[in-house]
Amino acid sequence: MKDIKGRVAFGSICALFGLILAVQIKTVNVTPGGSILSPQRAQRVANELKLLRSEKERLNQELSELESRLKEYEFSEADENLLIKNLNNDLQKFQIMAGYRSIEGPGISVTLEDVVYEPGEPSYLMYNYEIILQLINILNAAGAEAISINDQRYVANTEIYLSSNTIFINGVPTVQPYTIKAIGDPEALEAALNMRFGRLDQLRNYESDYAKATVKKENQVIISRNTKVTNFKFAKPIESTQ
Amino acid sequence: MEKKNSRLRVSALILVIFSILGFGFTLQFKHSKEDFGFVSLNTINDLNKSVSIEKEEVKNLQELIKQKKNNLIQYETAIHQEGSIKEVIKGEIQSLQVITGFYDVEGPGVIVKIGDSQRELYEWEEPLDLVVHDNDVLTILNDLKSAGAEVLSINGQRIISTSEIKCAGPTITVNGYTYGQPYIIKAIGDPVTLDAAIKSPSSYSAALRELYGLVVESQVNPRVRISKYQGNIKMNYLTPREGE
Repeated sequence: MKDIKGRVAFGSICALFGLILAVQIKTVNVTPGGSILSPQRAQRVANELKLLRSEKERLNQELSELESRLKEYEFSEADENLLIKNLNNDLQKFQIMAGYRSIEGPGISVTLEDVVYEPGEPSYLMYNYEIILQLINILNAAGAEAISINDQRYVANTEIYLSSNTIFINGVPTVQPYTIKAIGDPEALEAALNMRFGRLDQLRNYESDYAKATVKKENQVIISRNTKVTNFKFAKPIESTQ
Repeated sequence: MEKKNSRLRVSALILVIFSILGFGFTLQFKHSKEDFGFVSLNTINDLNKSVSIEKEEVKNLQELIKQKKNNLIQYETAIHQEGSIKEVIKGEIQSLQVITGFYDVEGPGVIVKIGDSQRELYEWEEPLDLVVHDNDVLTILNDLKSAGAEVLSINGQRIISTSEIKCAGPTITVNGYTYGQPYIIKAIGDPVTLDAAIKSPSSYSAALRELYGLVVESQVNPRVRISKYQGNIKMNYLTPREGE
């Protein structure tokens, strides 16, 4: 009899212990990932990020110094010479087209986001990134003058591709949400995007379980410049035959 | 004696189990008191991604600074030798025109032909399945860009940053000019990778070929010529930001 009592006590304690273990494991599973080691690792990565940011800051400063010196040269002569003034205008125009200058103006911003999203996991928008291509195409058809996706300016040879569960734009990895900014006539751009049976209409009606989109007209859209230098290896300029 | 012994054993067991439990609890508490607290894998993932973005940016910036330094040297030598930076600016404008699409270019690459399917409809298909759509062309263009295409054109229209590919019934409109099928895409870049982007069995082009019988053919050409954009730059809404 006594033996049974002891066993019952032992059994109940084991049950309690098991319960606590199960709760523990559950918590770790519900909060995705996580481990005892992670604080140190997170700190290390955060430090690296801080270092990189300050490095970027420094480089940006150096760049703006260099650019102001270049401008000095360009403008010192422009005062005296109309020809050089015109050349400078052209230079600026093509720098803007190439995405080498930050620009601003009225336009719209579109935000695309997955409804269910876990970082590092494949998501609906990743496997349907042609939505971004299609929206850019719609915006261009509606007369957009400049477009950027997550601060990557869309230029003539901008590519969008999926690799290791990340969308790369201009070779730079991007994180959700995807914000497409466009400069142009806000009314026309918005109307084109929200067209009935258009791409966004389709997304809102049939894909609302997976992704959501918001369109906002803006008085002032700022599109920052691309830092990537484009150098063609294969294409060589030739004299026009016409 | 035996009764007492067994009771002692149970007590000892309980003691051990509770000490483990207590240890576990303290460990748990200790953890939540640390600076970073509980860090989920998501946070680390986000951080890692930010790091790789910043790394890319830093690399680009370094490249850009190198280029600007070069420009500065060019300006200085030009002023020193000729007294004017006119020629240097002209050269810069030309290289910008090349990358923005306002200058004729030539180089190795591929010529891709996209056309409607020639086969009969299967029972479950609709006629629209077997024709080329604007989105097909758009995706193939992006595939080519991902494969390293530097310059592209559709039916002679240079693709620039504001080029649109608009569906216009049975035709598509590029840069405001309308064309019927077949569509000829010219691309300058590494011919081998460009050709692979169209011919690879897992590509979008292959899906169009296999599933719908569309014509998507690529041909390597050592001398692809692409003429410049025919229109003008429109800048009615945008202005450059001062100081940047």
